[in-house]
Amino acid sequence: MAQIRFVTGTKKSGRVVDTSTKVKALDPAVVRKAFNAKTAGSSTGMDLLAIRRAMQTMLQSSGGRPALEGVDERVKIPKIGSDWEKLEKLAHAAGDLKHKPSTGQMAAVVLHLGLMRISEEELKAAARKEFA
Amino acid sequence: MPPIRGAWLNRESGNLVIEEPVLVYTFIDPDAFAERLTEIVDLVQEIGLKTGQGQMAIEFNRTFYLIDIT
Repeated sequence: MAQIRFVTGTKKSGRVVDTSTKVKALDPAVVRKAFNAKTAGSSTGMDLLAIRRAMQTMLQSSGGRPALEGVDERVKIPKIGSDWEKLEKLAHAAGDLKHKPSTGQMAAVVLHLGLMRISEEELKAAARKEFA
Repeated sequence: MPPIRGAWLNRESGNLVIEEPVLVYTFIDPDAFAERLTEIVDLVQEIGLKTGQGQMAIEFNRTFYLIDIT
């Protein structure tokens, strides 16, 4: 077994950095083929099932047009064409939920889930400009 | 790991099977794992057959896979 050495990071961040040689990762495609397995989801928090589940939870109706929970303001953001096409497909795929989401609502949920993957610690470090 | 509650849809009968599967986590040496992958595939199939499972699930590198037990 390879020896792993940990060293302390900068005094500012107090982060611990793994400086050992990186182990070559095994290709998931090799594992999938060997087991003749079907991909059923991901635990990264950003798979189609997670998006669908989040949309179902966050899209509520109090009688009128269903709205996303937690939305307090609408803002304009730059739109990348290929991303928008993907969001349209995702919204269409979620059309069988209790409340059918709009493409904009789908964009908000995907952004929300993406941002959830950035920890508060990382945000604080970024604010302190501690990233190299 | 503590047991979790899971559900599996039997597509042949349409029944939803609710059970408490046991999760086993392991850390591997990639080279040794790749070298003995066939044995591990056989082991998963054997466990599935002996415990009467229609499918077995594995999670590898944060992706969840379903394996038909044949």
